[in-house]
Amino acid sequence: MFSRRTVVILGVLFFIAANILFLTIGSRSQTTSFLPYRVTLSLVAPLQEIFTRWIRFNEDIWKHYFYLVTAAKENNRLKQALNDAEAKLNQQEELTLANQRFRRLLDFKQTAAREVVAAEVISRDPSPWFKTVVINKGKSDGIGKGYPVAMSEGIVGQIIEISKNYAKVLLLIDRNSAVDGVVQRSRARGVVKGGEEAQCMFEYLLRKHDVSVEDMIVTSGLDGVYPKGLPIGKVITVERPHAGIFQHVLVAPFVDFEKLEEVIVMMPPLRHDLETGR
Amino acid sequence: MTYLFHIGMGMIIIVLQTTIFHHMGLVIGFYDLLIVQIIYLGLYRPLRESLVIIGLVGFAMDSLTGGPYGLYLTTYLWVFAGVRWSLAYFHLSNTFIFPFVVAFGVMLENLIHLAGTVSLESASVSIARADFRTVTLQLLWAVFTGPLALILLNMLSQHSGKWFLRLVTAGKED
Repeated sequence: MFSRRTVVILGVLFFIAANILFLTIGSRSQTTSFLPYRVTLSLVAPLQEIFTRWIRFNEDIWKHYFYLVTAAKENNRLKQALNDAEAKLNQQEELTLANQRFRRLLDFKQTAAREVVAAEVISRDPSPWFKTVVINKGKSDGIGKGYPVAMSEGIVGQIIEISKNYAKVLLLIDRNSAVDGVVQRSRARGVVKGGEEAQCMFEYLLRKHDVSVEDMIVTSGLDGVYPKGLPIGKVITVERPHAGIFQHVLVAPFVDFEKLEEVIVMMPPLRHDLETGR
Repeated sequence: MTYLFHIGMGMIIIVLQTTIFHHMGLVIGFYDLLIVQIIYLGLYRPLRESLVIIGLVGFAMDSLTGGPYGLYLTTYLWVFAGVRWSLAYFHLSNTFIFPFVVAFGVMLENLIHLAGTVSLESASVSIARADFRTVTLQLLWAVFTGPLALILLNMLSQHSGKWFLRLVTAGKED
């Protein structure tokens, strides 16, 4: 009835249509958690954690030890003394830096007015098209899907997938991320969406609203995810096109997403209060 | 044994891509090394065996990424189908064609991922200059290192079989 060529073409068209349907359903159902993915995350994440710890350990050795050995070749007598001194100094510097980071986290924890859980980033998204990280805290630590993730500098993102001990965080700079924000100075409201090259766009800001370069954008608290007043970023460009009702505003996030190491997950106040009976 | 080798290899690549590559600063410019494995399966391995491995590897990648469910699985299946289909028309196992085959796979992956990004409800349909730069870098890496990775994978796959046979023989002799 049909030639072989027609059957092949129809088959390919059918598979393309089925594929598009499958991906569309997949993208729509991101609000619900998928059990097999949670299981896979639980299986792969420990390996990633081991690798990450191993890399950091080796980086420390590389940065703090090997170059000392090279320097020591120039002067044998000074080698031991220099080694010891530098090792102690590096250790101290590392401790100071860690101390500073933890102090900032602690300060943030005290000012956050919510219960928070500190977590470590153990892996990043393999695709350059999506911006997510995996952290080493999960359901067993009391965190859940949709919880906001932040640092002392500002917001990082929100949890989109969670297993017992690990969670996947959608970063603020991902194209699919959207945060309700306000200009701190003028209180003009808009939506901060992930943009290009680790920057964000402040969308739906009406032309009449006052915004200028260097203005700080903070969370409005109206999206029901992030608490009000958390820093998001700083305005770097403002464009007012001749046509249209919105301004084009570009925002540089305060968080350096390339150097994410430790983050904190914020618990919802209502749920926590209910659980603890406070 | 082949299943074990390829699933193990896939898991190693996944862990490397999500951890070490980021510390080496390769994430923006480097392509998905699993594409090489998928092309290898398309060129040298039987259909049923390949589908099982692609299914597992694609599923693992989907659980670690922020894209829509099934995006990586879809990508790998289409790359695999493309390689299989091309075998009827081109002599793809020729080493000189390897750079183009890997580049094709990387290009197809980026196109599907772009479609996947757009398919998400809140994403805006915009391709930045940075995206072009990323894809160009990936293609360059793929052209220059893809054939080597493909040859290396082929060698490892062949040797893994021999090592396994040697292990089994040694076990029987004992």
